Amino acid sequence: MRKHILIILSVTFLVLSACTEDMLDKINKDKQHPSPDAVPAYLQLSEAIMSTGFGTVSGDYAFYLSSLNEQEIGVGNNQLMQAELRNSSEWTASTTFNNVWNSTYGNLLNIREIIRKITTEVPGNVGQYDLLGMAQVLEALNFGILTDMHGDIPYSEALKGQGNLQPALDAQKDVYAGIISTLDEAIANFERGKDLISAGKQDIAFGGDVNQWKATAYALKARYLLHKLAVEPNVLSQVETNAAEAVKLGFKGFTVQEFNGVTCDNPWSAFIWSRNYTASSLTVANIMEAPDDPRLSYYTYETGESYDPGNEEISQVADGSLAFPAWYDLGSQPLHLFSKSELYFILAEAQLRLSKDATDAFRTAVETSVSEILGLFDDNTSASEYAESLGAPTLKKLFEQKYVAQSYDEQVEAYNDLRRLKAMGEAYVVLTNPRNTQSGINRYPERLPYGNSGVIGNPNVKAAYGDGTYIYSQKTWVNDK
Amino acid sequence: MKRKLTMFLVLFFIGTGLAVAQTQVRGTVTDEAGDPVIGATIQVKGTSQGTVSDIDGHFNLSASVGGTLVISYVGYRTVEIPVSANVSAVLKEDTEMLEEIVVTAMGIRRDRKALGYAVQDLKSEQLSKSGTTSLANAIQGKLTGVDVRQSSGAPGASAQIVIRGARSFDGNNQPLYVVDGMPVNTSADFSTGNSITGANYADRSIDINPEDVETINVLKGQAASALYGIRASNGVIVITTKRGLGGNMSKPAVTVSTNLSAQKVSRKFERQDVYAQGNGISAYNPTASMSWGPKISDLPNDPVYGGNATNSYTNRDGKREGQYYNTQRAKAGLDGWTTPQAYDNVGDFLETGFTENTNLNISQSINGINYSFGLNNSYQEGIIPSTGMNRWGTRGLVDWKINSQWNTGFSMNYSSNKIIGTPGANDGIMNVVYSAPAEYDLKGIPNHVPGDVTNQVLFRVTSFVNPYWWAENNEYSQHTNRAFGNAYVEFQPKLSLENFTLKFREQGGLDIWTSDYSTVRAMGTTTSLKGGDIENYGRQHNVFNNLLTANLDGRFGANEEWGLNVVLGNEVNDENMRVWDYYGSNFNFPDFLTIGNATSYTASEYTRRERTVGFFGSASLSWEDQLYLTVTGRNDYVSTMPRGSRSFFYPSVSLGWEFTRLSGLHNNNVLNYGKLRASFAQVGQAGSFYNNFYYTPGYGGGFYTYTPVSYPLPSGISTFMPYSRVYDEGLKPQNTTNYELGADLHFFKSRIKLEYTYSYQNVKDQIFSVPVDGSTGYQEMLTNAGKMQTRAHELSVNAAILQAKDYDLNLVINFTKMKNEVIELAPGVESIMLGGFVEPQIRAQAGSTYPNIYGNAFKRDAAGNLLLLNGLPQVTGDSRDLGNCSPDFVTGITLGGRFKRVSLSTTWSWQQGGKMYHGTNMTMNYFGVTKESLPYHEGTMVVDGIDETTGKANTKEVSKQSYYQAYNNISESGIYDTGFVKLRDLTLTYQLPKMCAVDISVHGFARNVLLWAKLPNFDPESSQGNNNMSGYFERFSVPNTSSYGGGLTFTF
Repeated sequence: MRKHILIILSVTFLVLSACTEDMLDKINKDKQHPSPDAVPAYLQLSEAIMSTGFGTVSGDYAFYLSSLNEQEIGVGNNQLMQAELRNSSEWTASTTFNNVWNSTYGNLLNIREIIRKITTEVPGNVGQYDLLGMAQVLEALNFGILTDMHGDIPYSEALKGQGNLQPALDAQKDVYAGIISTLDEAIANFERGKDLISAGKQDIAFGGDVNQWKATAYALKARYLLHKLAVEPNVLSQVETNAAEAVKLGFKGFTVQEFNGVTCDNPWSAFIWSRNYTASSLTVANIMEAPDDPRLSYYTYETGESYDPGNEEISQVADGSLAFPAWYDLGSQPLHLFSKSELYFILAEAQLRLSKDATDAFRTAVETSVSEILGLFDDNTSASEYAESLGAPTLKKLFEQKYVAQSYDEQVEAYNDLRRLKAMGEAYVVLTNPRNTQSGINRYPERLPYGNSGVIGNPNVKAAYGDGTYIYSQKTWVNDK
Repeated sequence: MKRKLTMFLVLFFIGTGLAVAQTQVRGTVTDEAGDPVIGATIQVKGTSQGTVSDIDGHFNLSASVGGTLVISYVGYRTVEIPVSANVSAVLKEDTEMLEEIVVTAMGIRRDRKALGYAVQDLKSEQLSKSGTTSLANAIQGKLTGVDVRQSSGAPGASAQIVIRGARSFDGNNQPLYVVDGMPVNTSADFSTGNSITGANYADRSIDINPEDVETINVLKGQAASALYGIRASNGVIVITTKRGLGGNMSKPAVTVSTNLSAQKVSRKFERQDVYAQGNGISAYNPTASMSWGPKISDLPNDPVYGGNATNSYTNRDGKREGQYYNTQRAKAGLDGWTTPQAYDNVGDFLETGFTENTNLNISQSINGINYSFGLNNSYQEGIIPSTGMNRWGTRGLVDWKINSQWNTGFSMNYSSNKIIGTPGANDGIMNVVYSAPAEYDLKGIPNHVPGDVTNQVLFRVTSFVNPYWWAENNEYSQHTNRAFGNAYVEFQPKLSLENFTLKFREQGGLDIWTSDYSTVRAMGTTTSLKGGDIENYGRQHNVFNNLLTANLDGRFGANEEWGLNVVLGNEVNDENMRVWDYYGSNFNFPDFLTIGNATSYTASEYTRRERTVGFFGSASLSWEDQLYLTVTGRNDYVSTMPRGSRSFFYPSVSLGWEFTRLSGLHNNNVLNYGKLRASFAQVGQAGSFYNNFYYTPGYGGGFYTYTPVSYPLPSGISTFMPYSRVYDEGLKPQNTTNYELGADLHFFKSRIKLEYTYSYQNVKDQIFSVPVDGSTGYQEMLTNAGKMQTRAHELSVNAAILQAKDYDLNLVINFTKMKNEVIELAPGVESIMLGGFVEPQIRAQAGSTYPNIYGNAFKRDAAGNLLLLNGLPQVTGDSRDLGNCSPDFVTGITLGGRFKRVSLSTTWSWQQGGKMYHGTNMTMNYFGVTKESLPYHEGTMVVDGIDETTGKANTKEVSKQSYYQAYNNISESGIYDTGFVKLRDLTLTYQLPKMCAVDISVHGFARNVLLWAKLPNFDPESSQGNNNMSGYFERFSVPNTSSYGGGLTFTF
């Protein structure tokens, strides 16, 4: 009997020790993923940059806006056809931009985590002011795009995870103020960290060059100040100052060059290779044609063909037989997060509106864009000659050229310009899609709808979204004059 | 029970047997009608000697003079006869309720009448095993309250088995399987997720050979399964495999069975063959995806491609009267000129499938050792070329009664299973087969340019692949090697207490499997996969399960009117898994499709461990063999929950009352048996908790049909970011409360048996990923929220309509009506996605039955009229509830009979109501491919509806094609009623007279042969996905099949 008792006791002991909390903690240890503070912040920077470019600046916003802006035509008998035909539900549905809504905020969380680790001095991240500034630049850019696309957005209460599951919306005006001050902080941090190389190779935009990041911060400041021109007409001199500062720092353009077209593809190429949803637009071709733009033949894939916006038959073609800009077929073309040409277009606009000589800025802007495109095809045509041939800049020429340049991958900014100019009562590029008005009803979105996750998970967003048709009537603050 | 006890006592004295003279006994066993009783057990009392009566009721054995023979057979009263040279035993039918033993939770054997909850069991011969390789198919239509949803007719297709509705919105709702006392994992290795890409993954119940099954007991309610604790909230399927017959057999019983069958598509899609490829009646277009072109007979007159017209082709080749020029033929190296005719592309592509099942089983029971050995092979060729399945299995089982105190034994199963599958939805090939223009010779035109396998020829040039090219070049394979089994030892000490037995049992079990998956897409698969890719991935699981129980059983009281059964136990389940994924893309050259030929790679691999430790106890008390009370409790400790929330207690109580034992009701001629039962139980489910973590993201999904960017980048950079799911640190187990009431009534000497059960299940604090606003930085939070309820009525009627010596006729009806409702999700969350596209989706929606379809609807006015714009239907702004998937009721009917040696059995299923999204019908309508589209190819019409701009009846004329496309472009048009009546199985068996000591039975069968469905063109039992959305979302799935075949069984 003693033997039995001993056996029972030892079995009981074994079994009990098999389920102590410490034992079960050990068993449940996650061997697949690192815990947050185990990852040094600089390792997060690459994704922060890639996601900003691949997911937010390009990606779904750009794909849809290319149709809205007529910078390309939406075809393929599916979603982009619906967009091209200004199908109301395609534009108002909260599902349409849900992926990018989620991924942009997800990226912002990543950026905030970088900031947290440096500012709260998590071991291994102490004193990395250069990296801190980079994260702040990216934060400003991502929030800038979010508010430009959606208007009032969760900002001050956003990104708190379980701490606030239903963040309130901040007025766009306040988001703009926040963006500008974030950029000022970034500039200050670049000053403090000017001799550091915390990110090194992980910085897939500038390889850790703090000066270029600082220039980017100034360029972004210039952009977001300019966005407010319709409602705050006195911003022009600040725009000029900041743009000039970026130029002075030798801004080379905020780009991702990682693509090789084989194992790592530019998002536009991946989109077209996956879907055949894009074709060349007659609106762009017409602007290119008169001044004999050397980019035109590449824009039409050397077919000379382009298509009128809103054409139902064209939009149904799904077999990939339509012409589309040849650069999208490379896959290795660089991706702009903020192009050098945009900076010079901003500077030129400020100078023109301040009645200053904008010729140099304008020519540099055009030449940069043209030479980038020609460079992709080893075309030796002189970009500078073309830029000179355009003569002295006017606002019309400037916006036409900016529109053409941004048909490459800056559709988001083109949409911002089109709306701002409308608010200011100016029109340089005339949109021709007949379906922008249907049976007397406006079908040109003044903003993009909130993401579905917000509409179903956050009453504040749901209230603002309503049935989604607000996108046709309510302008965003910067464009509401 | 008593008989067993006696037998046990008999064996007890084996060792003390006296040496006495032996005599040869010849005997016959008959029933009261004088018919031979086949398979009756004849045991020499006090020895281990025994035999079984043959087909004529005869038996032979040697026994000691003066001894006693104990002759028994199920359903008859046991008789004892003194040993003599010639014995003639007449067995009387047991008019009392059979002392039917049911294996309940933890292998506890109990009288069926003692249970306070519903249990349904199926014996081997009740399963429809022929012509299928899947256990799920074998039980379909034979149980109440059990929903079996097979995903398609593909070999190894997954099936979803859900007992009494779902308990988890987005988690596992499949029951626990217990094979010979050992829990066996049957979930699929990988979920198909949104189920819109790739191929189906088999669920791991495919590793169980239906032929090995002796009985299946389904523990439906939580009271029945509570002893299994946390893993059993979805019910338990207890499987006992075949073992040696009772008694002592001088030679082993050998059974060889085989069946062969041919499969064809159960409902072939018949497309229109009038109109040709194109997007408008006026123009043939040799690259269009649709069939809205001119009449096929008009092709020779086509201005661009017609042989009768003047165009670039006739200018080059001269007029070709009656022919047209097909550019794809020319590309494939054929003469471009061809005379238009209609081809049966669907019929050409779908082959005749083949299924073979062969089983060998040897079993014997001798000198206290009972063994069984089996070998089996199942081989299937699918109706889609290149697809199939091949399973080999072997099993061995030994039970050894060492002496009166000690028993030991083991059970071991091995299976090797290889499946080649077919992708569906976005990667589907069936869409290409269905939409292939009738005049396009899909089979006859070579599928690639001569000499260049990477350059496909297809009628359309997009992201879809030529199905013949696919079959020759691409592969979606699954290969699993698995071993599971256990060994046990039982110890039954002598007790000083009379009428009580005490038994300890220690059982150690293993379940080990490795699954290798490979997806190979050759160079030139699609425009975005020019370089091809290969993904080798898989899982390895090692599960150790230890079960220690003590069982006290006995009777007490002045007249032994009290019965007591107490079980105490401990279970440890420890699982180690390894998951890997190796991906290579862009092959150097074609025809060598291995990962070594890829030019870029990514890889991931990780391990995970999970442990559950449970302590449980059960106490049953019975009084006067008419009142039965059982109380159980179990406490689990689970590793996958956060610290502090790992311990859960689950109670259950059940009461059974055989009210026909009351004196006034006893021996009633009409109602010979009646029992009422009631139970209450609480069980839970644990979540998979992690501390918040980072991961390395990749880019894909959305518009991308491949992964354009993955880390490390070409420059070698890798990166991390926070994962999109946040884990609630206060996570607690979800809780299911179940109430069950029921009655078992037997009429007319149990000729009619009726079982009714009502159950109410209330699930709260569900653990699921609650979607949260992306602006929180996360997309979902794993937390407790929501409520779900199920009310189920289950009625089973079992009637022996005719019963005679030469013939019988039996009818079984299994009726289930279930309402599985989502009461609430999380605050502010109205619905969550279970799978599908951006729209439509399968969702769980508050206030709706589970699950429902959610997507774009037609824009209508308050009166329900279509609101038209430019004369065409419009879509609603946002997704809507498009219908409830779950049916109003389902009924399974088994009708079978025997006439002399011929027996016929049929299984029918009748489902009333229910909805599904049928993307194939909808897309084929949109493409102008269906016969339904025929009236819409030519001419114009004015659509009925209200013009939204004027508010008045529409007057705008549109082309019929525009209307039909606009209509079939809105998901609501793809919602269909899934109601059907189906003859699932028809089996005709002939039992040959015994020849040379061999019993031979021959059978012929047909499966899934008759179908009346509301769904047009397709069998409603084919869909996407292997998870909770399975059965409700269809898009280019592998079609379902019918089987015709026959088989032979030899027993000797």
